[in-house]
Amino acid sequence: MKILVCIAQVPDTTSKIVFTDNNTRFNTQGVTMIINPYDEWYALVRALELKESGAATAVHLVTVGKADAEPVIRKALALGGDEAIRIDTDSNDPYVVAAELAAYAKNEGYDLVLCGKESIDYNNGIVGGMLAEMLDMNYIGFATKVDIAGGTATVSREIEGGEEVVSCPLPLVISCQKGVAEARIPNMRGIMAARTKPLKVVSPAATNALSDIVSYELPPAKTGVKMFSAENLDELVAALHNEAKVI
Amino acid sequence: MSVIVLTEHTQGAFRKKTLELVQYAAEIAKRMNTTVTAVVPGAAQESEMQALGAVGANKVLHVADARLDNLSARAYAKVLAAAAEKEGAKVIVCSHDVTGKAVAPRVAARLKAGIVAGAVSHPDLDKGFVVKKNVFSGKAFAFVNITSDIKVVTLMPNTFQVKKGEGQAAVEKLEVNFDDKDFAVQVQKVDKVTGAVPLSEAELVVSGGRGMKGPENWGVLEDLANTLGAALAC
Repeated sequence: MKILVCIAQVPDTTSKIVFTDNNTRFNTQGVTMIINPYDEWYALVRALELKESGAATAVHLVTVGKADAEPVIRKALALGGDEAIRIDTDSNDPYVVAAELAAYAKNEGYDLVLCGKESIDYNNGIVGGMLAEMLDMNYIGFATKVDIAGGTATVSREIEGGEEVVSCPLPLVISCQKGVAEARIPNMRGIMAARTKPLKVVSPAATNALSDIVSYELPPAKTGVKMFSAENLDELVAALHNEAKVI
Repeated sequence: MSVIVLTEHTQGAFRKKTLELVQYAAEIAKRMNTTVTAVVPGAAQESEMQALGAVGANKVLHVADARLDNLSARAYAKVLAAAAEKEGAKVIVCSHDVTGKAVAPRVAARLKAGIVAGAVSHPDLDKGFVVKKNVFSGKAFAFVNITSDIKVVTLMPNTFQVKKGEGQAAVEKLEVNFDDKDFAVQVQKVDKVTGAVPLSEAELVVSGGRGMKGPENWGVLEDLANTLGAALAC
């Protein structure tokens, strides 16, 4: 079984969010970029587990990004994986990202494509489903457990008001969330090995964007917290009723 | 040239977020001078489907195939694409929930449609088709313009209040041809929590965190949530 793991480069979760150029661009100055946590902790680690157990023969990592994404790709390779591919373009349009991944993946014979449930920058959760449609594969989103045996995936997935267990033959695209695997920390051997693992750069396919972020806006500043003493419950109830209007 | 809506129902009744979604579609349809067609996959009651008229649906296309009673993203996407073709639709809306997030990207890719996932506003048609959504995990908003001919939007549930009016929708059957690949994802076991208020539909939420010190103190929040009729989150 050959696995492809889709990795996105995103700003660190503690980054201060600032916009520039008249609020049309995210300001990356001083921002640390990381591997999208859902891709790293769940999709990538599960792929590595499947290789370690002998269920998979190869794990490839793919990113849609410019050269500045390479340090993050090397960090992912430090956790594991046989090679990485960088598709040399950048876009905040999920259609473009999915189309670029599909153009690369369609002739490579992957049996399983794993990605995180969403990226923490744009919170779309769209690329996995689009990629599945473009590769003519089935798609299972929001997996909390992934097992593969005899060419069939058995997946626990989140549904409205609960969880269900589904099965589907490969090839398949699965988006992963908490429960699929336990996050790992790369060891020194992995970090050293990552430096020399193959990182192929491929030219992008010609894909037109179908959407564009025209501007950004910060939310209004939050008002302070109001504290109430445990002895003053009447005042708390009155505030919840009259000010917050929630009871 | 309708606005197409993917509906969701449970135990015969349409979810609150579906009523909100149909109402959202009705506002888009009004701005575009067109109508709303709600799409209902799987078994559903005629009276419930007609009642979608009270939140703005003009027509319901019902695909009564029993295999659609469980979510199959591939099959649902085929249904939406068939409905869009029948109605000459340019806009398709779904809820931004597990169903919508599985189906909307498939139908968008299929129809080469730009997509906004997690909308928190109606589209601004003066500037193209610009929709507001949360980004950076809620720390900011982005205004996204969809430039393709067909547009797909998933609406963040609980963005707008539902206001029921009068009116009944006309219900029609829609036949869609499926193949085995469309139902390759087979359900083996379902584990649903009944009775509790689903977080995505809650009017009130009690949220607890590290201030509770440990799970042994969680009962206090459960009592509060039950008293207020609220959902519980952490």
